[in-house]
Amino acid sequence: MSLLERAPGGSLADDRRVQALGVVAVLALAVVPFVTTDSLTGLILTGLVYVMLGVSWNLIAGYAGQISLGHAAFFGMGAFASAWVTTPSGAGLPEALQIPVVAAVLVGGVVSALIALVIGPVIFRLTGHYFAIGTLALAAVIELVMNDRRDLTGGATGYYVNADIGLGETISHGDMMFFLTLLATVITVWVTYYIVRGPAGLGMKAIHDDEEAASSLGVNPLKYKMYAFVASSFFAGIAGALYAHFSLYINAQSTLAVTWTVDSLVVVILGGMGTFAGPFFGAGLFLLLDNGLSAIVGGWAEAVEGILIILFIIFLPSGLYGLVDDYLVSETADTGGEMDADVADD
Amino acid sequence: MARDDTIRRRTYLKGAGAAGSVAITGLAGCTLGGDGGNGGDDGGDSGGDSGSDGTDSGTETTDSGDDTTPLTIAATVPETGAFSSLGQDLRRGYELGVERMNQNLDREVELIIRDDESDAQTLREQLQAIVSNNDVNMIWGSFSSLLVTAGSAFAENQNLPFIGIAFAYEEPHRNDNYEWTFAPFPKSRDVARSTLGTIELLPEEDRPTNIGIWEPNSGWGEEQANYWEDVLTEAGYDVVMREVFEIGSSDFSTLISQAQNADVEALLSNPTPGGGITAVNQMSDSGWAPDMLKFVRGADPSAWWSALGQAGAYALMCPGWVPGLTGNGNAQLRETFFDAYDTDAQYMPVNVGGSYNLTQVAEQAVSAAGSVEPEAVRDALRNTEFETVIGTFSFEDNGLPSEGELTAPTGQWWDGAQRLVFPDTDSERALDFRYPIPPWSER
Amino acid sequence: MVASDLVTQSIANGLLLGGIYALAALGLSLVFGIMDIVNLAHGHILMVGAYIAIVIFGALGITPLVGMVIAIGVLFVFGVVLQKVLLEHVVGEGLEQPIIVLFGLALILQNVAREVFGGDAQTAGIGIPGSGIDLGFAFLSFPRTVTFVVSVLLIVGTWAFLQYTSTGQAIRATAQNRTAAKYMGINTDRIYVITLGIGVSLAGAAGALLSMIFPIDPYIGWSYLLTTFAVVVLGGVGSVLGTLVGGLIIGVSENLGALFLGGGYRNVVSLLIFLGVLLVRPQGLFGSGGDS
Repeated sequence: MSLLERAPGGSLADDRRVQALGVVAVLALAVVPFVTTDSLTGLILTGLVYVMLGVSWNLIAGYAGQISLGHAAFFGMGAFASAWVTTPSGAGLPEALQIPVVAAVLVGGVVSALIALVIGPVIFRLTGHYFAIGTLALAAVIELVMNDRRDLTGGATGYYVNADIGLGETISHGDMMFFLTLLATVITVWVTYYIVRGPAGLGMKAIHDDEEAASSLGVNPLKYKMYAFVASSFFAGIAGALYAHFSLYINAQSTLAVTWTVDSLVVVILGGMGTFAGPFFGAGLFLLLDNGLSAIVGGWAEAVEGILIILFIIFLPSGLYGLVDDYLVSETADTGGEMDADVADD
Repeated sequence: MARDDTIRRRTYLKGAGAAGSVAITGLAGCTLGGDGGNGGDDGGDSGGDSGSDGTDSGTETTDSGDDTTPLTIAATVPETGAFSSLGQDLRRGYELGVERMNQNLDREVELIIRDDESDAQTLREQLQAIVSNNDVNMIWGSFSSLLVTAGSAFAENQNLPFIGIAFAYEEPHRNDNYEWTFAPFPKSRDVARSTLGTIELLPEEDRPTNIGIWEPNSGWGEEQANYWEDVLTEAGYDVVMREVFEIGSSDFSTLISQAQNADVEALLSNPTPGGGITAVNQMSDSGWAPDMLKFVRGADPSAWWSALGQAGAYALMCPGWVPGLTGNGNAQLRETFFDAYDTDAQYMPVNVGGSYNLTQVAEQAVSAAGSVEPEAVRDALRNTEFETVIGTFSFEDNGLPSEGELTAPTGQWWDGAQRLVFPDTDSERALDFRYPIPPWSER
Repeated sequence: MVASDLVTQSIANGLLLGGIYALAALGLSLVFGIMDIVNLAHGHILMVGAYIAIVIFGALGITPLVGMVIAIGVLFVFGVVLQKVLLEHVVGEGLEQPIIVLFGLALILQNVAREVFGGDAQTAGIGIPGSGIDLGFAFLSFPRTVTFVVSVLLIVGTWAFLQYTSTGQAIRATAQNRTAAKYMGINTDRIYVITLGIGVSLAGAAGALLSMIFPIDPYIGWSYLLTTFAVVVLGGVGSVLGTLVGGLIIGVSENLGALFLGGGYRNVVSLLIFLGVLLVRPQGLFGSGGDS
């Protein structure tokens, strides 16, 4: 009846066929630079960046239940931090700082994680609406300050990144960045999977469901919030660093802009909040909408996205993944219990 | 208010053959959207399938057996966003130029233009898309240092010759190892000298002495402010105010109070067009005006007059070309412009001249190179002396116009038109520098 | 060294601006206080109000002060429809849903504005003659003075409505305790509809007033959302008087920030005050504690 079956309590990703599907998808993506134009490669790279943003935002918002509207800040700071160490001259830093792109991408992730580590204990004094709007304001402050720091970001002129990791004529810089992004995406997904499957994931879910109850059962909410926040920011930083070294140009006003938060959110909502596979579906659909919609509805693409977000959240809160899950996956046995652990519950 | 750019960045046209792009080919008849029509932005509908229909053009007279590889040019213009008011002027200069190039060159010239939404990131994506899908051998810039540097960074990366105007910023030429970028345009140093020259048109006892500089938060903002401060201080003027502001900021009240407080007589800045218009409106609200106002880039577009009307009179600009310049094809430009576009205006918009000058450089370089090979064209750009509507000049290896060869013309808004006030020419389209700006109550 | 009349001028500018900020924030504060919804589209609705005024001014030359009245009417209806069609589905459905629905609405409004009016900034101008007032230590620009006075009048009017009309009292009762209000025979669904209508139309009024002073483009929504939220947090959720004071504080701090720290920090100062208050006293400077 169904394409896929799942053991009660088990996860779809434990299924061999799902694993095989994942491997095939990665292999298929790996040949993209060889069979398409630069422009299309760039497009798919952007899609991978969306997956990373979605997966990481899903960790803090979907699993830990903390609606952060400041994700763009971590994306952007990852981008700038990595740019400073591949192109130190742009920020007037000594050339000696210069390190290879791969290392710089890690620096981007680490810097974002450190920022999260520092502000986490403060910003987590806020809950609910206040947390959402507080993170939005924090991201705005970071954007404004960075934009004003012309010495570090180039101000309105922006920051040009010098990087060339291409291999001669055959593999261009863009193609190498694509492979790097693909690798980073796989690692992000893999690590996140182990986080949410492990004890930390259970802790996050507990505070998401009922913080007070979890607290009274001895779960320390701050610990799990911080765990989710730092990990989420790390991956957002990596995504930003990769994007910076692909596009070779960043600008405080666009790289740190709310847009990236919006994109992360849309990817997750469309895919299915708090579900592991959601961001993949979401990123795919988003990319399709973002590029396909404009061909059909022209400049109205954003409005159509807005309408879709509203329709999804009202009528399909479990997202595309929920739809797939309902129609394509059946469980081998109908015992109740925790099996739907990975579907959003509110 | 937090002026974050937010969703502005979002683009939807990353893919191939997207709507909104337009290709101009050698067909004289269809190039300008039909003769006599309003010639406005009606070009936007003929996207995608360019190139092929240019081959049956009857206008090519020669078929010398030499290299006739088509010249394919990728370009973006800002048709939406902060610089949208300039998009049409740039496009028209390019169109007139491409038509002329098709007549003069022994090869087909094709120009593929897209909207960059006044955003550097979008600009890059658009150029990437054009270059991926066409055999591009030259790139033309957009408007303002903010956007042109983005195009130039892309071209440097692709090893393609890049020509850009409305680009006064010098620092990237010197520090970013430019090899492919050429700016046939007066630079920051020339703008500062032109400002001094304009002031010195006045009898000595009438000249303003207190200079105020509003410096936008960009690399060029700083460079231009430095040149202004150095050149004017050296000439004996007092820079009594220099304050940084955020590009895109909409509240100038603090800057206005500060300028008033410092008794600023000549106010110099390089804001965006929208920012400049807002600033003048708020000066009017606060009942303060300087004696002399120069907004480089800010006062460039026709939108200045349509938004401000008489309140925009007296403003000076330094757009590279102003009606009143003569020689080097200026007469032909004027003639073809008024033939091609149905307009009530007596004077051409300034950026048409600037972008037309760009096309002259492109034509003369390709002609000198006898090829469209990127290296050959680059070398020709480095070694040729160019004669264009903005003057006669050559380039340094880093793409700066050789120092001292270009005089930056300063124009002034008067009765709805921008007209040349400096340098002095005998053209009837030039204007005597109107000074000082009367108080608001007397206007 | 900053001259003292520059300081007084900046404070005057800040107070005049703060009045509009307070009006802009009042609707957000009421909706948050009464319905427990953060209207993420509040800034975008403000933008819609501004465009209504700009269109009327552009087409007929009628002053945005009249445009404001029309904007209030149009947006009240918009708010009622919004509540009935969309928000009723998600109120009480947890935190994420209303936030995300309103987020979607913000995207739609911004896109529609861009397609209809283009991306360029537009202003309306005040459209009535008058000149500024010179107080000696400060010059009060005419449009800013007029918009300030109108803003304060609207705020006082809203306060009086809540205080002295039976509907206003029902709204306040619902804000305090929805269940109790229901038992007392108050139709709380209707109260929600009216509240959102008022909240949204106040944003529209502020937008119409702002169109006389600042350029309006389709992207201003997010920044006004942050500014108004800062005002709400400062003033205390649901407090009319607190909102007025909060608005004035934000207006003055923006102007002094620009004066002392430079133009780039105009907004940073107010956002930092906002974050500080949020962390130290989430109920606001004038709020009386309560829930989140």
